[in-house]
Amino acid sequence: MKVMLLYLVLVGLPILGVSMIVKAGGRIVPPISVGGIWRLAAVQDSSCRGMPFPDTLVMTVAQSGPELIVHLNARARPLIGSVDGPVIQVSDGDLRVRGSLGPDTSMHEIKGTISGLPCKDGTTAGFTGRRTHSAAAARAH
Amino acid sequence: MPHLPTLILQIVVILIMARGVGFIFRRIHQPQVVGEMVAGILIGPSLLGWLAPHVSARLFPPESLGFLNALSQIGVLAFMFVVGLEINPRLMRGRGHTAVVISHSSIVFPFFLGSFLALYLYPRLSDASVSFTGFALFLGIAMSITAFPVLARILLERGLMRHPVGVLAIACAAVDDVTAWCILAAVVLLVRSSDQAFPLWVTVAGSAAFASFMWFVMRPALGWLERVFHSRGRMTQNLLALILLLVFASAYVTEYLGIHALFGAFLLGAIMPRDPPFVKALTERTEDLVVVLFLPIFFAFTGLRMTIGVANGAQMWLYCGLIIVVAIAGKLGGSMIAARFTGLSWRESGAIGILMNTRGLIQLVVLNIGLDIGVISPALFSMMVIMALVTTFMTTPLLAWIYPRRNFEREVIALEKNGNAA
Repeated sequence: MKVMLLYLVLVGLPILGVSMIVKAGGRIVPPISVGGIWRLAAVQDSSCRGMPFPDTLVMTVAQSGPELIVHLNARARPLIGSVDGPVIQVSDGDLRVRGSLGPDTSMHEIKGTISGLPCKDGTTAGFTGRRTHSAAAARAH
Repeated sequence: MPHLPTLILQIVVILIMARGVGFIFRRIHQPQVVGEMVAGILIGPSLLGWLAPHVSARLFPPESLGFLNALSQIGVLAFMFVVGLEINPRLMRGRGHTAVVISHSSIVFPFFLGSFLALYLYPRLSDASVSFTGFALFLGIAMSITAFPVLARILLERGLMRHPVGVLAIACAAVDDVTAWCILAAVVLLVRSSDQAFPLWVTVAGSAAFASFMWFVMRPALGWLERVFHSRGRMTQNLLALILLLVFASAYVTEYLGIHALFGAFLLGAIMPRDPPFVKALTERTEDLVVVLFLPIFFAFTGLRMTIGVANGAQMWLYCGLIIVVAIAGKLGGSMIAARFTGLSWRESGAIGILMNTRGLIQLVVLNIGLDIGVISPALFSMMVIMALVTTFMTTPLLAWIYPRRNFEREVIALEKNGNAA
């Protein structure tokens, strides 16, 4: 009997607490999801003409809340930044990427600019892109 | 095809680091496995990648990690089978109620605190692709894990297996392991339900049917393996091959059902015959290669996935500290209070709490599952790995402090004298 009572207090009460927490947490709004693999392509009317923008620039985004770690193609050093609403901004020294996520609610499209290393004169290159893998799929990929 | 020289070089570096750091940790009275876990982190982006990014990129190019991952997954499958195999229901005899109360409290209390912490961490370390329910439940269960194998080794090394506290702790850890893996399976099912091939009810019914089949049909049938073992007088290669086939078949079914391959391997280990010579022979044949080769690869792969310190350092370390405090308060505090309520002294209760707080590599297995299914972010993964290391590292010195060797040896001798007199 004593063990039963102990079990109810020590185990039952925390379980009740967990169910209340789960209910309360449903109202929290997290940052939008941008993690995964994005394929970017240069926009033709870019102000940075003649830059060495590859045909398909692969941007791998690791997201932890609003914080982002971005790898561009096989570049060893990552770009660090954040997502604020539908806007992402990441940089590493001179190289900067700024993008706005797509008009649809799925947020699988992006358009923005890259400035820095690819454009030697300091101008920017426009790009558009699509997310090809979600974060979990990218890890499996 | 893997680039074989790269893969061989990676394994060589991993083994040298694992044995080297493991040796150093043994010198400071820590289990070898803690050193191997640290070695995994040292060769990842958190240290090698930070100090020498080009060496790291050359040694562990992203395209090679898939092969390393495959090797580590096979190793962890075999390891989980051994963990299931080592759980001995006889440990529960005579202390079932106490062990269940302490064990379940030691799961539910950190589960509650972990879920509570999720309210704060969800907007800071997660995103809209993960539901709060999945995030909170996973964080809760990840806080609740006890590393049964590491705990068993610590108890053996310190001679605590002869002391009632050690025996109770190992019994609690056994209950803890089984309960935590059942809850984890349910959480994984919940999180993965949105991208499953089957509707949720099919997965739930399939899992229940499979577990029933394993318990009521497979478990009695496995007695045949034990009889073959005794008739041959040793663990033959054919017998070992058959057991490994069963491990992989069981793992395949649970993966196919949408839980995780590791549950199948663990389940098969848990229902294997408990005849001591059979278990000993099987463990010896499988454990060495797993522990010496595959687990260090798993630790290295875990280390390669860590990103702590890469982004927003100070803030991330603050979150990390918070996670460690909550994890210790939940597991150590929860177990200690439950043990005290069941009638143990404060010192014994403290020892139970310290032992149950050992998370070790089982925690790493759980965290890798969480990262794979996308329920935790890379930064949270890194912080939880550090928490696992800290809580495992603190076990031996804290135990030595609360229960000095001379004290418990005196108690063991007194208990044995009383037993002989009786």
